[in-house]
Amino acid sequence: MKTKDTEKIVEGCVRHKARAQKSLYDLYAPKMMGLCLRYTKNKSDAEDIFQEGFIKVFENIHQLKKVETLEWWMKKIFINEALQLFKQRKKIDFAHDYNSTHLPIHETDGILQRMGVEEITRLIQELPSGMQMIVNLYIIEGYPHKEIAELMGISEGTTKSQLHDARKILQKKLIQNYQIPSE
Amino acid sequence: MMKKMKHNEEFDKLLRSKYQHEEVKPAAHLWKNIQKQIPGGAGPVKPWYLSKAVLIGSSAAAVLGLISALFYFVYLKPQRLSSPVVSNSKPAVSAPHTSGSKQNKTFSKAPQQNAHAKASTISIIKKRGEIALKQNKAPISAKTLFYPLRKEKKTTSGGEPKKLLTVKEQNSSNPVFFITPMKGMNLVSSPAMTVNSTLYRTAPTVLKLASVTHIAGLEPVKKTKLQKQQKAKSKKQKTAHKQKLRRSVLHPWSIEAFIMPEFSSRIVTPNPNYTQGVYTPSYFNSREHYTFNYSYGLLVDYRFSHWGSIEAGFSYYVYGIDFSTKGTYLIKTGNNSGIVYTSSGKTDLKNIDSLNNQATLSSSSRFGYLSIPVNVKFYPVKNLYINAGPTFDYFIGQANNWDKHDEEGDFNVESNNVEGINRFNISFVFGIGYEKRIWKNLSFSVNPAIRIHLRNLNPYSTVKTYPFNAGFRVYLRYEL
Repeated sequence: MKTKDTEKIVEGCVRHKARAQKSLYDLYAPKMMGLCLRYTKNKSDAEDIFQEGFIKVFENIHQLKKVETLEWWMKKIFINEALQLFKQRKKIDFAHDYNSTHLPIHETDGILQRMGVEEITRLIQELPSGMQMIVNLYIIEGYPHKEIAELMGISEGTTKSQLHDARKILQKKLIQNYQIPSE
Repeated sequence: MMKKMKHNEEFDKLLRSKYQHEEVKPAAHLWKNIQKQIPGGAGPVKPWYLSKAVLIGSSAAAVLGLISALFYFVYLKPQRLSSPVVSNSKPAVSAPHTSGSKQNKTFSKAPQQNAHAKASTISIIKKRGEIALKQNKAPISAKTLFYPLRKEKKTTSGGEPKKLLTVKEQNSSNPVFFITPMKGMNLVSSPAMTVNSTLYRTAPTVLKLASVTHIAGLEPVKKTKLQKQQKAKSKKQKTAHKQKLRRSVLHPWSIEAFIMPEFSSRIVTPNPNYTQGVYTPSYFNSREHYTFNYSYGLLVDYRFSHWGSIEAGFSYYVYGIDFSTKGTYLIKTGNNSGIVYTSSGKTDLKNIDSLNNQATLSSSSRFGYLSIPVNVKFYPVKNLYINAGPTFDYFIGQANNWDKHDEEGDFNVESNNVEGINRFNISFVFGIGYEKRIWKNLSFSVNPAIRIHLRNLNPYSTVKTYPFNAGFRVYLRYEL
């Protein structure tokens, strides 16, 4: 997609042109749907965030300063929506005192490489919601711990420890569920 | 420790890379939900001929056309003069003149002192009747003729006069316009009567000299017996003519702009595959929305007598069908067969007595037509009329949106496909109307009417669909 085309689409969206809105939706809906699924536990919640996110995108697109940052800006809106839902539920269920067993960590990389995105997403969805949020924000989006802590209203130490535990859970599940039995 | 950290980084990197091109196709109904809640996105993307710009543009063009027509014809209408031109001057008759039995009378005015008289001195020769000067209040038809006279017109000495009125202008620098729109109506004007002769050429101020009885300062020649008889006859004829005019129509031609909001439903013929027919709005246990349709256009109306008129023109017509069903729908047909909507589309089912399914099904279609409406109006009493006539529709395109959500999944079809729809359609419109004159030649009319489509919309479907609409036309009519 050329920047000029994106500019036209954004310009049309600013002027509430139906065709431009549809183009923007077609362009980014699959990406954003994937994001929403990662941040939620089920399809229904993901669709709620997806709808609310797109409504906010169309309502606030005039605030976009650089067309080049459109995708990043949109992602931020969707993540904020996910965070809002996360806070509304008030079930920040972190896994405490996760008893980490010794895992053959090098094996997990191979499994991960073989796995499809949908399967990985399912694993992330199975994480406790707090961990799920931290995994998404830190590992996939690349947010620093400080920012994650501010966004989630928890301490930086908690985010670090939860991330550590989340990795362990993920790796364990990878081995348990996807390891090819050795002959 | 370092090894563990390194592995964590690798794990994170690998996980992140998995999501670099992550895409999941969202359900079709999500866009529809979003569209309903965002500014400017109320409804599916419509084709160009149904877009707001086209609708507003064509409406504006229709209104502009009407305004232009109004402006044109109103401007050509005779204006009232603030004062008669030759009423306040001293006698200026140069040569009252009679010629045998034809009794031509010539009044000529000497150069006058006042400003009016200076502008133009005219001689008027009239064949019959007395002469007077009156302001003309009667409307002039579009066929009014203008004769710029720079030289004196000679009158015929015998037989019928070729022109009822001749105007002589003595000051050739000021053109005099002589108008004979119809027999019995003579109109004359000169720059003396207007401020600006240029303006006058385009928007003439006109005087009527048809039943002139007196011009101040001008003494008419004594009337002869024959002249009196002629005058009486003429008067009688005029009265008869006026009565005739009153009985019939003064302005046979009109231009009409109309808009017709309509609500439609459909008559659906029984499907030959079923023993029992399927009818709307009880289509399954669904709900057929009474869809809002509309048409608008321009018509030319010819009033052929006081009791009737015929009109025809062009219009743009949008017909729509909105249909939805929610919850459990039950299919029951006489011979145990029916149709079920699944995520793969429409499927015929055999030997099923009934079927329960939880689903939401909705469809929305809009059909665009260019139409030629023809309408005959019958006026049994003044201002009230009965109208009926065919409308010939040419199908130009459609916008469809079909949604279904159930446990099997969602699917949505948006289509502008024009195939499968009859290109030509004919509908019959009839109704009653009330007409009210609102300003001079301008009338307003409300016409509750019913439109029935006489051809099946979709010739390829086993179920025949004949839409019928109920609405009201609103007319704005300008008599030419």
